[in-house]
This record gives sequence, structure tokens and C-alpha cells, in this order.
Amino acid sequence: MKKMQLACKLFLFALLVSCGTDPVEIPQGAYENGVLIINEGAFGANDGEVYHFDKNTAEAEANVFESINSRPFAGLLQDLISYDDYTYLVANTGKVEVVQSADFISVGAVNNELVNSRSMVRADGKLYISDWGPYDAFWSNTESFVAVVEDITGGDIAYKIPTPSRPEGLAFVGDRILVACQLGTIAVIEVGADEVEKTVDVEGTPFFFFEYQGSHYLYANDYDKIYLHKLNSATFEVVETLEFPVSNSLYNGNFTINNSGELFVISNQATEDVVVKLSLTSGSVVDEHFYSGSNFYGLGFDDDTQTLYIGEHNGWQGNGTVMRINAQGELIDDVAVGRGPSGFYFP
Amino acid sequence: MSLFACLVFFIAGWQSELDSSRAFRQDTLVLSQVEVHAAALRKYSFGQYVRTLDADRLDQLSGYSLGEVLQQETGLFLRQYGAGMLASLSMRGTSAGHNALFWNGLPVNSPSLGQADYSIFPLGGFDAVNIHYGSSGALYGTDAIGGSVHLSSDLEFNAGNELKIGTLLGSFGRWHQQVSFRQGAEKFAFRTNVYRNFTANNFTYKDWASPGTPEKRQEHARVSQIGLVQDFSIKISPKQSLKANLWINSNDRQIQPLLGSAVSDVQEDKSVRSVIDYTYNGEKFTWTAKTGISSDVMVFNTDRNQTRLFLLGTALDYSFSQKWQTLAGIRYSHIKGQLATYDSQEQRLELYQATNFKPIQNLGISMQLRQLIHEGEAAPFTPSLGVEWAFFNSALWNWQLISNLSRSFKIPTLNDRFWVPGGNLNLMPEKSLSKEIGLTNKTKIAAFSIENRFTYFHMDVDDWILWLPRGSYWQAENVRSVVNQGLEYFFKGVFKQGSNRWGMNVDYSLNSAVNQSGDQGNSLSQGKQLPYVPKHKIRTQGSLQNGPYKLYIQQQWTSERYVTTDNQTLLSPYSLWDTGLTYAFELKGKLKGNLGFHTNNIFNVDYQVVRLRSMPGRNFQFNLNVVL
Repeated sequence: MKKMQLACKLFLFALLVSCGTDPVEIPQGAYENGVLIINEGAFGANDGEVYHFDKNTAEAEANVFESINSRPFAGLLQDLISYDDYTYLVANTGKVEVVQSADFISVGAVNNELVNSRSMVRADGKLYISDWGPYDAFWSNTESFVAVVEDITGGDIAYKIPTPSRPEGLAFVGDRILVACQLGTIAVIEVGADEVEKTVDVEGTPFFFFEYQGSHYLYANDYDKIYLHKLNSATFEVVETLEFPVSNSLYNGNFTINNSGELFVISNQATEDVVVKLSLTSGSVVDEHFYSGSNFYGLGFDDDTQTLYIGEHNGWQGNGTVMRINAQGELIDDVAVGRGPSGFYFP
Repeated sequence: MSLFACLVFFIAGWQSELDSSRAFRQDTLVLSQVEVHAAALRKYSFGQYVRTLDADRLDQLSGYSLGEVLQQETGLFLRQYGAGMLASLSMRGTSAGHNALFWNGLPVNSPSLGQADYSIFPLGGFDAVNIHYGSSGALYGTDAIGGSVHLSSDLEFNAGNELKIGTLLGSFGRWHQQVSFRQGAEKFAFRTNVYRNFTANNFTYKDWASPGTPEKRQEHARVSQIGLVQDFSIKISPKQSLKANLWINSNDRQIQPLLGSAVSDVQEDKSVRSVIDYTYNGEKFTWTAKTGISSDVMVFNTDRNQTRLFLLGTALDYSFSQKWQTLAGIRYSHIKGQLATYDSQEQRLELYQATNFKPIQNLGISMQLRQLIHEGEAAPFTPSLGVEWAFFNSALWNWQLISNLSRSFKIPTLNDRFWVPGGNLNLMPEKSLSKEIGLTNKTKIAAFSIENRFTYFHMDVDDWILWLPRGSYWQAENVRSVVNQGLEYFFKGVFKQGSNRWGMNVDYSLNSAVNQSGDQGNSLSQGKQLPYVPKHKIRTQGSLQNGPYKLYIQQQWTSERYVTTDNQTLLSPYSLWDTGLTYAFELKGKLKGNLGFHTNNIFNVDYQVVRLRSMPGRNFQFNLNVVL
């Protein structure tokens, strides 16, 4: 009997040791694969939401935030920023919802004192949220800021860093936060000191930063052109500007880029909306009519499948549609999504 | 006389009857002022329902807005964007701009928006509310596609002096005060009425937009109204009279923020409205002339929008015989708008004619024709034909078959045409073709008295105007086609048992409003119910009256509403129960009045009429009206 007990103990010990030494397999969360679709929502309705698209079944799960958390998102979803642990849903109606990236369960929010929040970046255990601030009587925003929250799951704003003009996209580079300010500047914030250290003037209206082959770029546009400003990684001065003759590019600055350095942008032309393909490497327009249609509002590129995703707002009269386009510029399929699909995140 | 007969004139359908079943005996009735107005609305409306809201009930609700009254007291649905906030009416599944609103015959839909905010029409501004269900463009002109609402003032000769003081106190800082004095002599009558309404609207609500959905107290939703009404009537001679009405109203409110938004918008609405009516009653004819002005200023934060409407019209109602009556009129309107992005003006001229033919005692046929000229362009010619046939009539039972066929239209609003950017001068009027058929029944057996009214309607609305994004701005375009059809059912029952009088009223509406066009290629919306058009709304009221006491309980149930045109998001149905007790008193014939205690939303239901717009929970009200 004692031998039997000893054998059992040894077996159990062996089992425990074997489990302890094997790499731990944590199953992926439901929202850590597929495509997260940002639906901005309609002004005055606050019906922004996230849809989840399954690339295998080509089906979309509606209203992810509401179905998981049993309450509406209740905001206009401007941006979605995802980290391994948490995903941040930035509403331009003045709040940031924090959910767990794996399952979208709400863990907190920043919903005091934000006014017109645009984007967010996480650095040094803090949240930096760009916000246009209130409008004045002339529809200008003279009190724009970057709000700093000292808890990555949300809470109150600790302090605000004034910005030179309306802040849009943010990037965390080295130990600096870069802020794209719409009156043609980059504001550089030193993390820790948390104040604008310097500004860099750029051409066009700056929107978002992106990284390609180790270099940082800023996307900007004006009525006639699109500008890609390559930045010095230390000084953040513009070292090179690529200009593309694309007029009427989408007013919200939406674009997407793939691993090959091809940028896709939307141009609102007289009778149609056109997706134009640009090359970052050649600095030229590759295809000025890659795909056309109407009511285009958002773009995303899935490098795994080399598929372009286009969001259509359908005239804002109802919900939108997402189309998938292959590398040859042909429609693969489409799927009904939420109101005003404006962006895509590929976990 | 023949000159008058040749004139065409005003107030389409102002001359009618108390209700359809009485249409064949109108000459023998003696009517009060309110009834005269209601009768006028009904006279050329064979085949349609014109309903008068109960005056005693309105007295209990003084301090309410027209929007609250229609939502609570009828089967009509209003999109309420919060308590005391924008309230727009949907009749028979149409949009807010497809219903005409009149105050003493003056059109008061905003010329720039083409619709009315029913929350800024407090009951203090008028005495009676009549609702015309169904398409009635031939009678009333533009906007009356789904129906129309008529507000009127009541001022009688020989009514003596009367001082009336009223107040209503309620939850969430609600306080209404009203003082009116009137004198009704043999040849002259006047009334002055001043009122003030205030609501803090600091009710508690569940904040669905925040983690944990905490309960919060509503902030930034205060509403304040103040107004003056002045009515005059002069009997120039036994046949001639002159009536003048003035209404000044100021509405100041903080706009209740949408859940999840932190905006602090404020809106101020000021309006001045005035009408003068001249009436000549001949032996066989009534000649009326009308002029009026409606001036509205709306300041939203710092944006100022002002519109003015001037109206001039005349009409002749001639009775050839008991079988034939005809009404003809002409109406001229001049509209001026000074909006945030444009200044503009326009002119409209309308000719209309209506004829009643009663070939036999129990059959009435009315036909109306209207042609509106808008800035030199002819709007769609608008005919209408209605029939009422009392096919069974006895001492106990009355059964009628009713039917109506009519076209209606809506002229593009000033904003649709001139807003910068996006206004579109090439817009066509929206137009509709409506058909309806119904059955009415009145029964009186012993102590029971029952009325039923059942109507089926079908309506095609085309060239519906929508604002669609076109590049960097939005533009107004004629894009939508909709088929609306449904049922309306009204029940009124009274049972007398000794000194007890039991009553029951039911309003039910079924509205299917299906988008046929898909809104400019949006196939997701094609074949779908329009947003914020509930398929069902039912309102039931039961009451028990014993002498001066009256106890009532009422319920309204509103079915789910789709939020978007593709019906992918919907709002839950809700059911609200209200109850109250009223008492009418009289002291030695010198002082009389009434008081009431009311509880609304008894079960404290957390509901939203429009998504993310919080509404108050259980609330209490006490009202007192004293007449000296």
C-alpha cells in the first residue's frame, strides 16, 4: 500500500514538474485575432461601436462593446488604440473607454474633463490623450490640450498639457511624445517633464504618425496634395518630405499602409470616391484609380491576406458596409457593419 | 353676393362639424367658440377624423407643453429628445416635417426647418387642441401629409368677467403659474393671459455611458418659459365680427446632453404670433378674411436664426342648399428668413376650393382642390375626395363607413433650398397619395355608451428630401420613397351606475413605414421600417367620476423603435402608467375651480424615447385652478 502511495506521489510530482517546465499556453482571446472595425457613429446619436470581423467565416459580430458590457458605448468612436493588455476606445464626445484586449470587458474609463478627444498613446505608465478642447464662438479651438492620466486603466485627468493647435495623432518615440497639431506643427513633449519642449513646422495639415522600416513619418494633407514627412528620430525635424498630387483627400485624414510601403488614401472626386495607391519607396502615385465607389470613409490593410478593407458610410442614413478588395483591386465581398466605419485594427 | 361667391378664400376646412355622425344635422346645433372652431375643421373633412382633446383634461395639464400632452394623452408618437427638449411629431409613420401645425389658423411650422418643436408650445397659449388624422394637404396646404394639429383660442361674448389663477407644482422643480382675466360683454370680449413655466429637470437617471452605470442626477436640462396671450373679439354688427389674437412666447432652455457627451448647449426660442380675423355671416354664406404674422427667433448657443411669415387670406363659404355647400379661398404667404448661413425670402399663393354634397340624409361627400404657386412654380395640384355613409342608423346603433382619397405635398424648406453649403434650389416638393377607409360605430344601450372608430390607411410618399454627404458637405436631395400603411383604432366607452360614471378610452395606432428607395443606393435600408416610427402605440385610460371627484389611471405602451434606417439597432419597448385624482369645487357660486394630484410613471420605468436621451422616472404633480 505504501508503495502504491509512493508511486502515486512520484507520479503527481512528475506531473507537476512537467507542467511547470512546459511553456504556458494561454488561449487567445476572442478579440485578439480577426479584424476590429471602428464604427465612428453618427453625430447626435453617439452610436459609435466596435464590430469584430472573422476573416475565416467573413462574418461580423455587431456591437462588441455593448454585447460584452451590457451597456452602449455611447460616444462617437474616433480611434482605437490596442496594447497587449488593454485596448482604448477614444470617443470624440469626450471619453476614453478602457477594455481588456482579449475579451473587451470594461475595466475603466476616462470620462471627466475630456471634451473632444482624438487619439491616445501610452508611455511611462500614463495615458496621453489628445483633445481639441472646447469650441469658441468662432468655431475655433483655442484651448486644445493633451490630457495625462496616471493610471493605465483610466480615472481622472492628472493634468493637461496645452498644445499649439488642435492635436490629432500621437506617437511615442524614444522618450518623447509627438503630437500632430493641425495648424501645421508637431509638438514634442518630453515624457516626465510633460510639457511641450519644442515645435516643428510642417507643410499641410498633420494627422497621424506611422513607422516604416525603422523611420517615423507624419501624414499630412491639404486641398491639392498629400505630404509624407520623414522625421529625424532624435530631433524630430523633417528630413524629407514626399509630396503626392492627390486632391480632395478625405477630410478626416484616414489612410492605411502595408508592409511594402504602399499607402492607400481616399480622394473625394466630383462623382465618386476613389482609393489612390501611393508608394513610399518611390515617392509617386502608383495607381490613381485603384478602386472607386461612393461614401468611402475608412481604410485598413491586412498584410496577412494582402487585402484592403474599405469602410462605406452609406450616406449616414443607416449603418455602413465594409468591402474587402484584393491586391488586383477587385471586390472580394462586403459585409454590413456599424454606423460610419472609419478604421480597422488587425490584432 | 355673387361677388362673394366668386371669391375664393381661406381657411381650408375651417367650417365643419362636431364629428362625422353629426355632419348631417349641423344647422341645428348651438356651439361654443371652441366647438365652432372644431366644427369648422370638420365641415369639409368627410371621410377623415378630426379629434378634439378633452378640455377638462387640458385644464388639469396646464403648464404642460403640447408635446407632452400629445405623447401622454393620445396614440400619437413624438420623438422626445429628453424631458422638455425637442419633441417632433410623427403621424401615420411620416417624418416630423410631414405634419402641419396651426395656431388660430396661422401655420406655425418653422419655415426654415419645415417642422415644429412641440415642446415650445405651452398649453397656456391656446384653449383647444384639434387633431386631423391623415393626409389633408388639399384642406391646409403644405406639410399636412401625415395629418395636422390645430390650436385655437376660445373667447365668447356674453360670458361675463372671469379671473382665473392656476398653478402646478411638480417633481424635479416643475412650477407653473398662470393668471388670466377675461371679459365677455355683448359686443366686446377680451382676455389677457400670462404664464410662466419652469422645470429644473434634475431627475435621477442611470448613466449607461459610464462604467458601472452609476445613478446620477441630470444636470444642464433646465427649461424656462414665459408668455403673454391677448385675445380680442368685437361684434361690429349682428352679422360682422372681428377677432384678434396675439401670443408672445419665450422659451429658454439648457439642452439636456446626450448620454456620453459633455456638451453645454443652450437654446433660446422667442416667438410673436398674431392673427386678425374678420367674419361676415350672411343668410347663406360666411365670408372671412384673415391676416397674420408669425415671427420666430431661435438662438442656439451663439447662432441666431430668424424667420417671419406674413399671411393674408380670404374665403367664402356658401350654402346653396342643405345638400350643397362650397368653400373657396385664396391665401398669400410671404416668408423671410435670416439664418446663420443665408438670408432669403419667398412667396406662396394658394387657391383652394372645397365642396360638400349630401345627396341623401345619410350620405356626405366632400371634395377639395388646392393649387399652390411657390415662387412662380406650381406645386403639385392637390385634390381630395372624402365620403361618409351612415349605412345603419337606429335609436341604439349608428354605423358609418368612411373613406378618403387625397394628395398632399410639402414645399422644400428654406434650409433645404438655401442653406450654405448644401441648399438645393432644384428640389421638388415632396408629395404623397393617401387612401383610407374606416368604420365608425356609436352605440347607446341603457347605461352604456360606446364609440368605436377603426381606420385603415395606405400612403405613398415620394421625393422625400434627405440631406446626404457630398464630398466635404451635405446636400439636400429628393431621394426617398416610402409606403406608409397602418391602422388606427379609437374606443370611448361610458357606463353610468347611479352617481358613478365609469369611462374608458383607448387609442391604438399601427404604423408600418417602409423605405422603398434604399436612400441613394443604400440597399441595407431598402424594405426596412423607418427609424423612430414605432409599429405600435397604445394608450388606455380608465376613469371613475363621482360628483366632483374623478379618479383615473392610464397606460401607454410604445413598441420598439429602430434607431437606424437598416433596422440593425433598436430601442426596447416601454410601458408607462400614470394615475391621478381630481376634484372640482364651487363655493356659493362665486368661486370655483379644480385641483388634482397626479403620479406619472408610477413604476419608475427607466426608458428612452430616443436612444441615449434620459427621461424622468416616477414623478408627482399637484395642480390648482381657481376661477373668480
